[in-house]
Amino acid sequence: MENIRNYFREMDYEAFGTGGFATTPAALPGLIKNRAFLMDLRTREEVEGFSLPMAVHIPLNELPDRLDEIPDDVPVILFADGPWRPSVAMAYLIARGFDQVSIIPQGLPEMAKLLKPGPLHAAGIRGSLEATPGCGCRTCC
Amino acid sequence: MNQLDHTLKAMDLHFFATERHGISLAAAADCLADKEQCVFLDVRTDEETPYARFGDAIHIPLEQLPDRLDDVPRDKAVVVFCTSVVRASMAAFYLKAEGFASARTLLANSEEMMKLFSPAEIHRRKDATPSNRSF
Repeated sequence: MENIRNYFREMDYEAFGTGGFATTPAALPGLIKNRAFLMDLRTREEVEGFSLPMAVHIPLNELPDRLDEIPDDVPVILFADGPWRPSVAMAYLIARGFDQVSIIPQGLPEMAKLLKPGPLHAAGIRGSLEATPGCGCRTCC
Repeated sequence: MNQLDHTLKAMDLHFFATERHGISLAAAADCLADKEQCVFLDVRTDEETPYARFGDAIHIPLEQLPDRLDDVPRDKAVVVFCTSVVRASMAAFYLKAEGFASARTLLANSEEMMKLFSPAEIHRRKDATPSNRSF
């Protein structure tokens, strides 16, 4: 608990005003191209219905038990259907020592607009190989 | 870290489906009408409040929240807001972990929140009775 308290104590007007924690949906095709570590925090039930295959799926309620699946040396980008879950997960991960964490606050409805031929092609994506999850490992990704 | 883990592990499909994480603008409107049961908590910074103020919400910036938990009522439903959900969700998560089980985020941004203070909404609240509340 003390780690999250200390994180909050640092989150003043300056910290939020400069907004370094947010990634825009428009960046998504480039993140896919670069095999960034994208993490979907929705429940299993939601992901069965609609999913992004290039994202790693860790439901928010499984996060405490699956921290070892998250790289701590590359940027981790969190999303769900809106801002609530990624914001909570970001605070939690920072409290657990991860420091390269950002969120896509707008979430899936806005992200889906970028998963179309125009924006994907513009980012240089030419094949379906890139639609597999990045493992976060610099050597193999 | 057990309280944070314990709080997160409860956040399954049912938790979200039954809006235990946050409340809609419509439910917030009912909450505003029942100040005996419900309190609004503004977690924006001190620098922001001179430019936009929402009713008689309690104001505790997120950065001060860990040191001012005693200022948060434990006998009312706490509805946390900021300008766009991000800070309010962190705060609601943290408050839950600190034992404020009823803490929830207002799932609306500032622009949407202003609708709670339209003439029609103000008029509706004057006629509302606690038994009609839906939060």
